[in-house]
Amino acid sequence: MDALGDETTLDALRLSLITSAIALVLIVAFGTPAAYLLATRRFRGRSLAITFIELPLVLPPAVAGVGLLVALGPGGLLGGLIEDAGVRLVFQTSGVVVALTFVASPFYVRQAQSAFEALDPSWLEASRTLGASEARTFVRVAVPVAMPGLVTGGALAWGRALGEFGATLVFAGSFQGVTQTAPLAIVGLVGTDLNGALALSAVLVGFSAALLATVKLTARKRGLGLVVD
Amino acid sequence: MLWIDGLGLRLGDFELEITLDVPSDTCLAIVGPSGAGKTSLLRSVAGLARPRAGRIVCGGAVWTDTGRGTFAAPEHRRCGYLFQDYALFPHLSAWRNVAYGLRDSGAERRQRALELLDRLGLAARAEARPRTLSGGERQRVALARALAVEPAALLLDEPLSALDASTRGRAARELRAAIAAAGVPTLLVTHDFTEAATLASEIGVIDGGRIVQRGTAAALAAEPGSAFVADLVGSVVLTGRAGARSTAGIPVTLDGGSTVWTTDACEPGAVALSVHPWEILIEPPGSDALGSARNRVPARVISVTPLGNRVRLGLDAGQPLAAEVTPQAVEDLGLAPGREVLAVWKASATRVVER
Repeated sequence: MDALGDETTLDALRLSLITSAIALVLIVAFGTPAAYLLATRRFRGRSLAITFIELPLVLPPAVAGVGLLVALGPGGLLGGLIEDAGVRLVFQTSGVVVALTFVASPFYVRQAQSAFEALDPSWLEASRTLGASEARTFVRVAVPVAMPGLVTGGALAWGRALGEFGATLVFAGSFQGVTQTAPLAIVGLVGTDLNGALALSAVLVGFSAALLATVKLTARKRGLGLVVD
Repeated sequence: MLWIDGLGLRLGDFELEITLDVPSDTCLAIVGPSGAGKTSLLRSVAGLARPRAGRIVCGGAVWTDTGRGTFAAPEHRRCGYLFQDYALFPHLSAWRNVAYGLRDSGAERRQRALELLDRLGLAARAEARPRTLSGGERQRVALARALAVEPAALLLDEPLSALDASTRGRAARELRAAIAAAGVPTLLVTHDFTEAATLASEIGVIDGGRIVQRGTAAALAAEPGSAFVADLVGSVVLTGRAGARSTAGIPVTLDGGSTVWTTDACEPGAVALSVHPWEILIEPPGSDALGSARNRVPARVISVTPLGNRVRLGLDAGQPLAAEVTPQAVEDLGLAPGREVLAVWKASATRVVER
């Protein structure tokens, strides 16, 4: 466990936690309303939107990284726009966040969408007849009732973001303290410092186990109907 | 006054086309078979469904006017909507469900919700979650929640159908009282004519997407405009007071005079009886009791309405009654409005319904 005191491993852990937490906030902030709209509305292009959101699930992570490079990298489809805005993503910490968000978001959105689809539509309609706008209905009824599903989705997405490797490596590289997340650091350490790699792995295993336990607990809570107020 | 004018709504393979008005202090029940578009009508009034055509006006406010492109959002209509399955919010306690639509804040809000629950005898269940409430309690919480917003109109979707027989009587009484106290136009939809007759002051029958007949329950039973209405009305309801049980059954003194017998069990006191018009025989007045039928009530013919191969007689027996006979019997007995007759039926054809 002394190996954890090493600067490489500490930097990697810190970076992993920060980038995955920021990615999770972004995913929840944009994914929750998106999932709600996908669950409650029927509109033209809905299937296309779902396919696009779920694409990262089936894409090999390295291909996802190449995709991000082509889309957002210098000379990429949107690269010019991003550069004009004074933002650099490639080989930057912000690039790690982009890669994690892209790869982990479908885990949350899919789960959230099915949680919203399981809501009785008459709950939402009752809320409207009682004077609540659609936005208020979303906040006061839809989100609280779907909360166990949202927590599960959040935990799954966070777990996926923590383990992300391929897309990050391709899009952001592996620079210590800047883009080298824990999984990237483990790969770097395996050849030189096996103990360090083991220690870092142990931390990730512990964290993932805790996340999984959260998922199981909320699932059981939902079974008992102990919905969050 | 709730006014629905030329409401057009496409429903699968037929078109709903409804024009009706509901004065304040009136509960109009729309009765029809499932799939007749009853719930769609309520949803259109509440703003949960967008009609293809028509105007909906309530108390001077235009809620829907497709001609002018007016469509008020549901949250701006203030309809007290009682959903068929009550639609209580599962994550909120009973009082928080009731308080959901209240504008007050803090302690006042809670106080107001508790008052409403107390009025329906539910003060002790204020902290309970919907899933732990019985069917009757859920119905009352949903009613309190709908009334809490001081609605401009009440919309009730099959309000009693989710309840078992033992709680229906009480729920019907409370609902009648709540409708009367609210004093706003009330539109109720149901497939059960008896439910409509016990709750509403007027009934409109919906068939093929249109209101085919409108009137009081007694008027519809006495003079149905079509065989469809006659079948839908089913039994006629008589009110009276039950006496003590004897070996012959239970005697019921009808409001308006005569005493009849029922073989059903019931407690002494106010009851309602139902009997099917086709179970009632018509005999000339003063004829002797020769058969097994024990209920013999003097009545006067009010109306004679042919319905295909049968004839519906509207009768006045102290309260409205209806009988169905063959055209042959009408001729043989000289049945015409004003004729005095004897309405005869068996005690075992006399059902007691909750009142």
